[in-house]
Amino acid sequence: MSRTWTVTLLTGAISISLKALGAFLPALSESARFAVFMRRITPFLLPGMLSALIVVQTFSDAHDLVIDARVVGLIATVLAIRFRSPVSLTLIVAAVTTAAARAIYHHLTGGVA
Amino acid sequence: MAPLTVAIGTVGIAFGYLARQAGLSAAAAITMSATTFAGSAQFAAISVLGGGGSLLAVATAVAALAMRNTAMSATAAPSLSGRWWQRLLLSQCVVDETWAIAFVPGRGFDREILIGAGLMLYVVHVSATALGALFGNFLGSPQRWGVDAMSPALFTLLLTPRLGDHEARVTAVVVAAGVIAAVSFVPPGVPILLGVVLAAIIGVTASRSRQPVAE
Repeated sequence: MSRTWTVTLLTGAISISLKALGAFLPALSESARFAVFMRRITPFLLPGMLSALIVVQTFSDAHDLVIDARVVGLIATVLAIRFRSPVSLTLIVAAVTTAAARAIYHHLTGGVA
Repeated sequence: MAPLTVAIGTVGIAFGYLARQAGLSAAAAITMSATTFAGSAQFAAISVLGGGGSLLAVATAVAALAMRNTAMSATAAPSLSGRWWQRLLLSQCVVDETWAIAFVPGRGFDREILIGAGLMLYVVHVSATALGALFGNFLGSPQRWGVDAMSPALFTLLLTPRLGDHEARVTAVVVAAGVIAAVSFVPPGVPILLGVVLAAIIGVTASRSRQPVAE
């Protein structure tokens, strides 16, 4: 089997198993305490996870903390939400402002796009 | 629901294109989307592969990113009831976006939203990947179009309505700070996992003390 197919199937298998594992954990433990615990932490997990995703996808490049065109997109997103823009428009604003900031940056620095 | 489709579709096309750039065949790219159905884990897998990483490095990055799915399906587990194979199938519907929209404060997870949104996003994700893998070359690099900004924008849209709550706001800020501090020191994928653990710790502490978390 080629390397790319190995990676493909490995990624799929890990993802399927880890998603399924969560669904079976409470069944295995059969405890009401587990359910209560989960109900308690969910309201915290939700903003925590979304916040973590936003930060990682905006300010990181593999191992490094970076500030680049994506920050402009995030600021534009927050402004669009602040001014009650429709959701689909907000997504387009994010993409367009990021693309524009990137193009301007490359133009100014003469970098390769 | 329509905006979710727009975002997932665009990100799916970008994945299809980048997967081909990383050396996957179109069939492999589509298979990865059909089995993994988790954008961030897929982008991590192809970026480690493209960077010449070992299989172990791929598995570590994917597992680090997919581990939050375990926490997500565990919290949604009461809404995933049924025979073992039903649980197995339903758990695959629990992804970042469906989990975030299906949660009703004080009531738990809405099973119908999880399944309905899960199925719809699955179809969009897989077909968009096919489009990107087969025709992405006509569009060029997704970065040029700012597509990489759409996913964080979507998560910002999902987060904003939850920030009316004081505890949610504190959690979001503390986790953001923790993740920024961690990014440079741990492998890709791990910061998000740390963020989830941090949020759980804040949750346990806050509900133990039964008092608002200090700001």
